[in-house]
Amino acid sequence: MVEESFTVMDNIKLCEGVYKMTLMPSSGYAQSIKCGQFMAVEVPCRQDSLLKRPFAIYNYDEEKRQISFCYKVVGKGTEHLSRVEKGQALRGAYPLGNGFKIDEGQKRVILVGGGVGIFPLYSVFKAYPDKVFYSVMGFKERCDVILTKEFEERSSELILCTEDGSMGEAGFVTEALRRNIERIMPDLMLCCGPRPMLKALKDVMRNYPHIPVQVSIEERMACGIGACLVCACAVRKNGKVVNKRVCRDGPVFSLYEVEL
Amino acid sequence: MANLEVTFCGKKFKNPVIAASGTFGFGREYAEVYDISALGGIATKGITLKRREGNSPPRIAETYGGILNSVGLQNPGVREFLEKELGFLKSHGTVVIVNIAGSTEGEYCEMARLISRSEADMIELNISCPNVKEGGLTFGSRPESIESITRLVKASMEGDMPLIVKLSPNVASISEVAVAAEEGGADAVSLINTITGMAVDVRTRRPVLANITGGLSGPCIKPIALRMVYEAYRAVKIPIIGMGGIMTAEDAVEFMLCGASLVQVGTANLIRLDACKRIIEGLEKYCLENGIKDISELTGSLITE
Repeated sequence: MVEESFTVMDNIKLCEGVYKMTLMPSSGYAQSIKCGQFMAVEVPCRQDSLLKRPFAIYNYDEEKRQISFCYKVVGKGTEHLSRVEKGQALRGAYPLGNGFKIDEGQKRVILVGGGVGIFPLYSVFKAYPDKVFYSVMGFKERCDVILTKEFEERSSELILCTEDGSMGEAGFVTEALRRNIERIMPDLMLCCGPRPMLKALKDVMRNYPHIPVQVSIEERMACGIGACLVCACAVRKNGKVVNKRVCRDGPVFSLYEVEL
Repeated sequence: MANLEVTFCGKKFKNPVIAASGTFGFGREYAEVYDISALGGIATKGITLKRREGNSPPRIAETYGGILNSVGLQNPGVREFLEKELGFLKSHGTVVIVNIAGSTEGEYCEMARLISRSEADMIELNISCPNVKEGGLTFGSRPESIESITRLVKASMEGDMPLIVKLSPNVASISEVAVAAEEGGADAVSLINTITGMAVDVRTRRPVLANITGGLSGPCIKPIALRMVYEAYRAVKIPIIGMGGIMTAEDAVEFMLCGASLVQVGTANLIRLDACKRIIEGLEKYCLENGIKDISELTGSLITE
């Protein structure tokens, strides 16, 4: 884990309000990154956004030593980030958190992403090239649909849905999953998305408790390294609820253990 | 090269910079980022007698020039701290200050007794946590109760471990509470703790923090903190640790000029992980450029006439 200066190589719009930023560490030294880990990026020169913003690492190009992450503009911090230009310098800390882990025996892996929750999932393709992936992606409407090509190329099957039915199957991603899970019968599920989606997912998975589910959790953070205890996530283990640190003990937890 | 070393309550600090309680955990995470033995001292995350899980999230909100937190004293409890964390902290050759918070006098005294027997260097009495009902602020807002809790805690300590009383800014008169701590037998005071505040989300019409209110820290509180250190310095004879929004070496110097012998750096650690280290380097540079041979010369040397 290091905190250093990066050069912005790119900051492109993927769709309305969603961007992909690519950074290169100015030290030239690249840390080794595990899939599902995140980075914390400063918002340059803003007195109203002092804290670094945590973003899942979307892709890491070892040859070019470039790291990219995708983000949605949800507040002042991300709004300012969206205006950062190519060539600008900004600071960040990486790699942070635990990441996804696929065991040897887990061959068939289903990825379930809701909206911008698809971003942390993409990094598993490269980390586990020998697995068979099924992707289920859900968005609000057609204009929010992004990165389907990227996921399709690397999945043996892609199920796309929009809430309003304007593209792919109509309805929530969790309903699409319910219709298809018995047919796919994965060894493992990796997911990320908004809280209501995760709650619905928990409900769907009630019937398949033998399928482990790893979820990447989002929470407001401060230090990003596990010291300040700001990003608490209630986790139930052996009947006891304890607060875990999303930035350090997570962001990936077992969906069954997370109290939503 | 200037002498940055400060002797404070008989303890030798390599330099006047202490990582402030609640922003540095027990040092483990920051030790992965830089060599924390560079620090003058480390004030631990607030410890309570029993383990605490803290408040519900969101526990953090940003405001202009600052942050609000409502962590709520999440910690493993004093026994687990002494068993599993203190040894690691001590191994870095920096002064270890254990910050303690209780909900009763008995809890404070029991913790102080346990810690005074340990290899920790100092205790910081947190009677000013704004984020839990029983977080000590009930003890920390009135001069009479500050004097009484300080006296009780001091009496329960074994050996000669110094006791620092951390003062809340949420009081009518900072000089009065500083004097109360001194009269209760405090060896030093540290100030200021966070200022109680809140943030509102106009879209959801809800408070940003689940706890509704939180403790404000960061550069926006520095002018208030400086004024309070200045007032406390004129009111008491015991030494002062100054804090509140220190981001740079210049900020630290300002606190020293107003009367602080040492400083604590909190929020800055969250913004830049190596903030303390940079401030120490900056202090060295400041001394060099301004012909300061011994950094302690700065303490209280503000020119007001």
